[in-house]
Amino acid sequence: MRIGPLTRLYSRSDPSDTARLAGKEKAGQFRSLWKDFNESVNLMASGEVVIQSMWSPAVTAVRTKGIACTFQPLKEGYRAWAAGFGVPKTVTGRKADGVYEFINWFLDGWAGAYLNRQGYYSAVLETAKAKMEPYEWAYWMEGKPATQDIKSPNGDVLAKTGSVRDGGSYEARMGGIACWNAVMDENAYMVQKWNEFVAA
Amino acid sequence: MNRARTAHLTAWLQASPLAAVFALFFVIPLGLVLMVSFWQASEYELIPAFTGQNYLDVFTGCPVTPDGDLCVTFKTYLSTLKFSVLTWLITAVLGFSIAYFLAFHIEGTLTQTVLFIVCTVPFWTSNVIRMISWVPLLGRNGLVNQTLQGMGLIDTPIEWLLFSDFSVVLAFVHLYTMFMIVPIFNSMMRIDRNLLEAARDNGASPWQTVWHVVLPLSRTGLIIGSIFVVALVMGDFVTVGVMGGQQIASVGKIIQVQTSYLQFPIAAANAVILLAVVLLMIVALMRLVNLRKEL
Repeated sequence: MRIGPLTRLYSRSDPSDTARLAGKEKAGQFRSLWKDFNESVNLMASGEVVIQSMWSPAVTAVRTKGIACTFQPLKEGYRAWAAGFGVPKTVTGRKADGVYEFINWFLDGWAGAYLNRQGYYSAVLETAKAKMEPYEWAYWMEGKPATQDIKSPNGDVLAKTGSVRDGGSYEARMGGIACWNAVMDENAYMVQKWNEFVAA
Repeated sequence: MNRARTAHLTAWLQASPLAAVFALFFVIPLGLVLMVSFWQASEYELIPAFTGQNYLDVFTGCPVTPDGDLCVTFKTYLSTLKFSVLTWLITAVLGFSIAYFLAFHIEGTLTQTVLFIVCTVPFWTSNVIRMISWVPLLGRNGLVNQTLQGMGLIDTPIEWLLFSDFSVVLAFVHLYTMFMIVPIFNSMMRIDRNLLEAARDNGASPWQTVWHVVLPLSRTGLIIGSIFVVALVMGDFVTVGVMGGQQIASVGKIIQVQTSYLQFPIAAANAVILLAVVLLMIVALMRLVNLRKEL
């Protein structure tokens, strides 16, 4: 499930917020809402919007197009999301072996390094570290200035030598999380308010 | 007697494969939707029940909320109906004109066929690609705005070209005009050309011929096309979403938002209501034409 900007708008479930947002929508504050990674990248890259709630790797993707884009940490903190594997108990035998083989491959470091180079954090950091260059690890995980140009997993330059990752180190960024994207207790109310906002 | 019974049985057997397909892929799923619309749901599970609460929730605050606003459902239906009427009107005029041109002004079946295929060119790429390509054309920094700015006609980009009612209707017209052209063209090809000659001989002007002869005789095609367009626009959420910047309400979009947050029962209730509304519209359109007699 991709939650995107929705949760941010409704992280504080206060009806007056909805009314305020609906007012802003009418006034043309919001050019477009996105539902998809590439959509958010294209909106920024085409100049259709100038500020948006965006995933860290989406900012990376805009930068690799040679367009300056800043991922600006807010004083309120980060909104974070996470994804993991769940294996249904109905999976048995050869299928179960296949599932575990895939998970083992996914956690053995190559995929982790790929994710880390996009700005995500992989689930098993030690194996990812083994598949990354020390200078890459220092930039992405330790918040240190880049000693070489930093490249995306596809090989495009996304940060020049000397630049520092927004928000700093892994610890600093994880420590700054203010809320997690999740299905909340007032899910039904939230969805109702969202449809209200769209209809406004 | 025996032979008649065999023929009777054969007819049933011949109809049964299609009936089975319809039962399996249409009637059963629809029955499930109807059933789930009376269920309850928590954040993580569907709870079998029999409650009308979902239907009540759809109409929360209807017709008018305490703030004096129209309730969300009514507002959304109004918006969806507006797009249906606008799209229907524009596609009907365009579809009729193009079909008329193809049917009466183009000589030779080959040329007609080639031009007909040209009309289908937009359908050679996927729907999503077609819609995404509007962005570089109509966006703030798109071709249209850059051209107008380059010619010095405007100082700042025109905002309403994209992510607006205008762009939604434009995309609908682009997508669905073909659904009007095909049935209208089909009807027009069946018109006896002698009738046009007779009209001319009786002193009718070309416009009078179109209005009093061609239009009434194309009615079947026009109404079949209208059914396609109205049904497609009423249920749409992709076009409204992409072209409206996800900020324009449509009934399909409400259902989509609800299902993506796992609220299947209320989404099912919305789907049942939408189905009822669209069926009513189609029944009304069908009253204007006897499809079995005229096809």
